[in-house]
Parts: sequence; C-alpha cells; structure tokens
Amino acid sequence: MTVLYDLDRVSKHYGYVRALHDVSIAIEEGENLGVVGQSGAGKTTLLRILSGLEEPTVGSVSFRGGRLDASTRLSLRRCATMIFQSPLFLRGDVFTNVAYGLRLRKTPDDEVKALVAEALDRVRLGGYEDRPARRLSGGEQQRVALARALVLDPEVLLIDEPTSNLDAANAKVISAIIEDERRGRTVVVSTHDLDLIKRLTDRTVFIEGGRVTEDGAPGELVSITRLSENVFTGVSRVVEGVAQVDVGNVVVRAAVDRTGRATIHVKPEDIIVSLDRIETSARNQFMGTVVGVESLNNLVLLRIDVGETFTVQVTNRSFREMGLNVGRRVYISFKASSVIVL
Amino acid sequence: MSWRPIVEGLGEAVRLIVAGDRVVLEITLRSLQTASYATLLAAVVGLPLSVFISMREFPGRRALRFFFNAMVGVPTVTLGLLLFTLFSRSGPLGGLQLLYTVPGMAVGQAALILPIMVSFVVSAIESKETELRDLVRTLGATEMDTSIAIVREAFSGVSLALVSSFNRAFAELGIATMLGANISGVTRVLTTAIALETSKGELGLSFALSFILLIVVLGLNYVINRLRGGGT
Repeated sequence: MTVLYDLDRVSKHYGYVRALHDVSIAIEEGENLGVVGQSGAGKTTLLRILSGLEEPTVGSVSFRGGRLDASTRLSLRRCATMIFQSPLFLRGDVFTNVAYGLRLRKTPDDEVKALVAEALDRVRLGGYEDRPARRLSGGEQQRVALARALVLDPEVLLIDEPTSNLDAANAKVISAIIEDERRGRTVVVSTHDLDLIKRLTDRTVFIEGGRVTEDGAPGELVSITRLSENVFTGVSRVVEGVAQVDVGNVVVRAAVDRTGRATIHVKPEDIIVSLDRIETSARNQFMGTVVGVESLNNLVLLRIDVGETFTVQVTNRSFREMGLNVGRRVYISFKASSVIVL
Repeated sequence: MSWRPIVEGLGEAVRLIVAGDRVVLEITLRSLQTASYATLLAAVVGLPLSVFISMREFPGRRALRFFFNAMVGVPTVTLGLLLFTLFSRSGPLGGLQLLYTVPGMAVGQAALILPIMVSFVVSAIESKETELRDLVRTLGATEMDTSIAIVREAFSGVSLALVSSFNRAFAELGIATMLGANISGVTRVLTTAIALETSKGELGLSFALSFILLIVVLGLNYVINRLRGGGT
C-alpha cells in the first residue's frame, strides 16, 4: 500500500475560529476513510483541505509524496473531487452539469455524451439529461451531484455528509451508490450515518473541536459506539432562539441555531428519570414507559418509550430505590444544551 | 382638482399613438436613442469594472464598492450641474462640444447609471461566486474557467442591471434638462417635453406623453423578462 495523503500537523484558522487543530493523519491509496464528529467539529474543513480547495494555515499536506502548494493544488483538484453537503448546480439541465468537468478537460463531444449517459445510469437516473437540474428533488439532486463527480472517474472521492439532508429512502439509494463506487478508489466520507460508516469504511477518525480524538476501525471507536444510542433525525425550526427538532413522535428542544433537517444525539447519562413530572429548568420532559432494562456493571441502561425510544443510564441503586421495571410509567428530562447536533 | 386631465391624457395618448404623431414619435425615438447610448456606454465601462471589483483583491476595493453604492442615490440635478460645468464652452471639457447634444445627454446619463450597473453586477457576481466557486474548482476549473463560469451564472443579475440602468436613463429628467435644455427637434426627449407641457398647463398632453413613456418602459421590461425567464 502506498500513502496517498500525508497531513503533518495541519491547522486551519478562519479568523479567530480554529476549524482544525494539529491534525496529523495519513490516508493510503484505495482506503475508505470515515470522518465522524459533531456538526462544526471540523469535518468539512478536513475534506476541503484534502480536496485542494483550501490550504492549511499551519502544517503541510502531501499528496503522493509531493508537498502541496498553490501550483500543484490544481492538479490535485483534477484527480480528487469533492461532493458537497448541499448540492449546487450550474444553470441549465442535468447534462450541462454532469458534462461540465469533462468540458474543462476538453473531452471530445461524442465521448462526453456517452460518459454522461453512463454516469447517470450509475446513479440510477438514466435518461435524466434534459431535466432542469435545479428543479429535481433533493434525493435526485444529490445523485446528480454524485454523477457529476463520478463521470470524471476521480482517483479520490471526498463526500461531505451525503445523506444528512435526505429522507431514509433516498439516503439508502445514495449509500448503495457510494458502496458500489468506492471499489478501487480512495474515498473519504464524512457522515453521522453509522450504518454507512460501518458498511463503507475500514477506518474512521473521530473529530472533536478540530482535533482528531480517535482513529481506528469503526467498530472499535468508543465515540462511535457511544453515538449509536439516542440518535434521531428530524426537521428543526428555531423558535425564540431554541431549535425545536421534530423527530417524528416527539419534539426535542435543542440549544442550537439550526433549521432544516438535523440529526441529534443525547448522551444516555445526560437524561434524568423521575416517577412524576418535575419542576425543572430542563427544556425537555416527556412521559413514557420503560420497555427494556439492561444491566451494565453497576449501571443500568433503560429503554424508555416516550413516542421514540430513548436509552437512559441510571445507577443500580437508583434503579432499585425507584422501583423501576418494564411497564413502569416514568418521566424523562434533559436540558436543551445536552442535545448535540451531529 | 378633478380626474379629467388623467382621463383626457389617456385618450390623447391613444389618439397620438394611433395617429402616429410625428413630433411624439420623434421625441420618443430620441429618448430611446439617448438612453440606449447611455446604457451601452455605461456597460462598456461598467461590466469589466464590475468583474474586476468583484473577483479581484486589491487595495481600495471596499472603498470603490462603497463609492458606487453611495452614488446610486446621487440627485440627477447635482450630477447634471457638475457635467454642465464641465461641458460648458469655457469648462474643462468644453472642447468636446457635448453640451446641448444627444451624445452629451447620453454621456451624462451614462455617468448617472454607471453606479447602478456596477452595484447590481458586483452583487450578482459576488452572490454567485461564494456559491459556485468551490463547485467549479473541485470539478477541475482553473482560475480563468472559474471567472468565466461565475460571470455566466450571474447572467440573470447582469441583465437585470442593464434593464434597470436603461430604465433609469430613459425616465430621468435632471440631466436631460441641464445638458440638453429641451431644444425642440434637437434635444427634446419625453421627460423634458412632459415638464414643459406641464409648466404650460397642458396637463392632457403631459399625461399623454407620460403614458407613452410608461408603455415603452413596461413593454421593454416585459420583453426582457420573457427573455430572462428561459435562463433560470
């Protein structure tokens, strides 16, 4: 295996904001790397640096052993293509958009036609050439954005949160396409879709506050295992400075400024269980029923159905003293600031 | 005060148009001619300038942007007065003999609409730039390719800038009065004719000319809008 990317102590600052801090990772040719972390942790910045769109403030990035600078960054961009979280389109139809990169590379016309048709087939949108790109549905737009990158047959695909703006059905199609296309290619994908990470990647890095805090097989990462509980996706709207995320059967209040689709996470240890409704400053309080009990050393994990099922961690002692058990009616409370947006 | 002048004016406008009144036709065409020259002149200077301001970093860029934004609101008589002084026989540009000519009025209107054009085009390009710059670059665009793609994407904003500028030139009075002086058969345009007829108390004819002015503006905007509609 040859090393494709080598990041040496890379930091990226935007004004006073440190988006990445002292990141050193190597990515091998053909590797499928996952990038996980909270929203704002620096995932997108890392991808932008790998794509050659951004240069680090401090540190160096090497690609195939050559240190990147202003003059070599264009050649990197010609073989590493980034797919953005929200797809953008040039004016015109799907064909114009998918053909754009080929035109820049001066590919002959008849070849462009065939390649575009093939790329659209690969994203299951055969025959969409004449559709106006900006009027497609969200899922179709994301697939055209994929086709626009795939048509260039790039060595490296950098995919930023491909499924986070999509509903489950569309997310599944996108994941399947990525799974097909990753073979023989270096793929770096940032996502909080843990299924996608586990199926797709051999290695995942966890980013927190601009630093890589964990690096390993996705199944072994503590941060990821932790993230598999209490993860909900829904639509958020901001009311009086507090996001109200409608995740289906409950509306969770989160102390963030986010509208649109959002995936949220609440740590099991941040949730309080009570037998009665309590007067509290916690902005989230729901009534529900205990539907599962799981013992874990001197802790107990409760599954509580409040419309959605939350996992709540309590001590053995609380569990006994409160007389909790399956079927018991309880309240759960947690602060809006304990809700993490992924 | 009654509605009569407006109603009469409407009737008079229809009559003048149907009859193809020679004088009305002449001043309408002169208005169109002057505003077209002005728009063309402002575009030749303004479009490259806008591309430069919006896509290049240079010292004084912000000050230049501020200047053009502020100049959008300049009073036409003030600008007219300034240009009148410059163009008058003894003025610094008197040798060009632009005073009381159609080209003179066109140059004045061009100066008036240049800030509108630059402000509109700069913001159109900048909004597209932040949006699409990364997209075209990751698909392999060079700096040159990127500039071309962004100006092309800003087409809708650019055409809006051209139309707005033309409308402003077509409908302004101050510069046409100061630099043209409303000389019958030479520099009389729709707006100066309206001002003259109003001061003579001929409200019916004033309204008739106003309606013609409105019809031209609305008709032109309709056509441009149809053309633009295909692009979005």
